[in-house]
Amino acid sequence: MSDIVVQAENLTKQFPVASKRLGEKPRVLHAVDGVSLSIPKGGIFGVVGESGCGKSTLGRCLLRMETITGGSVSFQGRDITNLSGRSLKSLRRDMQMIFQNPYASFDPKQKIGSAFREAARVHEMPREKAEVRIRDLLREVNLPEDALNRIPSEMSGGQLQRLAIARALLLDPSFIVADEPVSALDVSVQAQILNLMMDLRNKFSLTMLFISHEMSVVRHLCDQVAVMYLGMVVEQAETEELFSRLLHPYTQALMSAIPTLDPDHKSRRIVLQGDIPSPIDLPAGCPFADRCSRCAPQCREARPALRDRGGGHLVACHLV
Amino acid sequence: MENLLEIRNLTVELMTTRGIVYALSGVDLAVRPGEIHGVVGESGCGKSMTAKSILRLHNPQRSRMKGSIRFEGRELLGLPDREIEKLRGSAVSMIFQDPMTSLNPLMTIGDQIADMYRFHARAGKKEALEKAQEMLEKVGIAPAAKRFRQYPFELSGGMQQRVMIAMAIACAPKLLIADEPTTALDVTIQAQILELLQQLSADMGMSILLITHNFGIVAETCQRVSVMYAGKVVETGETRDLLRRASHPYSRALIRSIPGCEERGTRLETIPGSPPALFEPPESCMFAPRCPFAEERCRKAYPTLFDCGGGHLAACFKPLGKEESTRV
Repeated sequence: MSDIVVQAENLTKQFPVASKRLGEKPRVLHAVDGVSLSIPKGGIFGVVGESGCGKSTLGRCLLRMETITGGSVSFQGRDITNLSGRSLKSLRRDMQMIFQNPYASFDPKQKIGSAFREAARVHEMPREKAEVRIRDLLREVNLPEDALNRIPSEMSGGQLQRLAIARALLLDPSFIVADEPVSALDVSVQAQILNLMMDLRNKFSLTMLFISHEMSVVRHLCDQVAVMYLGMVVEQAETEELFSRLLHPYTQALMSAIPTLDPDHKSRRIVLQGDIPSPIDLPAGCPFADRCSRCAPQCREARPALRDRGGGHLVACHLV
Repeated sequence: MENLLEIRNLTVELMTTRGIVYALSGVDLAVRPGEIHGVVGESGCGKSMTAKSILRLHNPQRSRMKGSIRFEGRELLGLPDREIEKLRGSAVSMIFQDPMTSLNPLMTIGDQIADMYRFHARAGKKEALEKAQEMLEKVGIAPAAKRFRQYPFELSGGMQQRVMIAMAIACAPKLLIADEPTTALDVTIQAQILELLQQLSADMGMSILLITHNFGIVAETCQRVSVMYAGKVVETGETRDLLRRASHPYSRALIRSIPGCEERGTRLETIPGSPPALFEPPESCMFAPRCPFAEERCRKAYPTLFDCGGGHLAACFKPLGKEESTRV
């Protein structure tokens, strides 16, 4: 395989939770629980799951926007698990993030151009070089130059998301985390942004972690996919492999819950009962046991390990 | 069949600081008794505006409405506000996208449902509380006796939306307007809520006007659908029929931009340009500037409705033939 840009080994992130009563044993929220992944140069790694499954926290951990509780993260072969201060700041230049709501990623009163120049200044990019680069990028994302003189409220959501992508590319990063970048957009605009991301990936061989709750989007764009549930990866494989045989009951349910254009699809639907349980004080067994239609006694006793079922298709289930 | 709700040539003009916005310019929509009717379109196309107009939920001082909205044969447009108020929550009720902002955070959910019922059904306190509990059971919130005393923040998003539905159906409405009821929810929860709505519609013989931007939801839950663009309904028909042969270029483009049907990694079809600003009343086809099939006449006049057969109508001079729009 080509060179690995980002690698995580058994990555764990826990948040302390305030105790309800004085003297109560402190509790922890398991946001990310033992996730391992590696993304080769030019690869797009998709993470899917419902809200609260830890997909955003995983992205933030890889960028070292969070301190890490356990396991390790390495970036371009260098261990960055415990970096801090100046060495962490120099890392930021190589790693960028794109968020869900483009209106919240720009200062509403700052002109777009100024927001771009600020990013260049913080990372000490020479001014002339920055100006040229900004104009090149605007062309890449199909926006006119006069966008630089406008403020965010004068732009549509799709245009602003293009600008957020352009700004993320400004410093020529090696790794981008895109956290639900198309979830707030209309389908026709979503299609434009997905096309743009595919073009940019091909052109700049971008390496990306793509976080989404939509299976269809991930399937369209990503090379590898991990399905998360309560901080754990329950299934992980190459995209083609994963979608050609969905093995974990949760992945199957998630896939069947998506409304499709085929009116006969509904008869095959598995409707999950109940909500995602709280990630605080997880039960000893499989985290999905309470909602799983195939739950067996051993599922309540031990947590299933993520095992290879052939062809690098990893599944965490006792019954598969 | 007599329509439960019939909207004819509805126009809504909004007075804003930047001038008049022609939010709706001639909407025609009919909902039959007991059916789930979908309204799809992109943000700003007038889906929510149509829904709000039925219950007169926009500021009357800053808007102007013309046309006709008939509910059970009765014209709503000229009715005094008091009459409309009687209608809200009883014969016609509505649920919204974000349940957390629709519920009162300082009242228990049981009290909120009971309050609503006391107002509309003129019931006593005890009767209303019993009704509230019954409704919670009906929407699948168990155990109702315990949940009854909880506050909205103690419930998940899906549960909150169930509470909203319980409140909306307490007076057994004939029509439920659901404005993007599952957009803020996860797919697995969305599937639960859609199933609940379908079951309630069948059990109570209640019509639902389901507003959504997701064609997949329409395909699975609605018997008929209307596609809106720039303040007008551009195509309407049986869901199956419309999905099989979308005749308006906009509907077709919208359906084709959904990922998941073509080869992985291939480019998705997009619609060039962006929807028009609605500062001028439309005189020609509003989709013409973005339409690959537009001709001279499309830029001169608004197309009349073309009957594609079986109640399938499209507002287009050149509705697409079957071979051009085939899909699935």
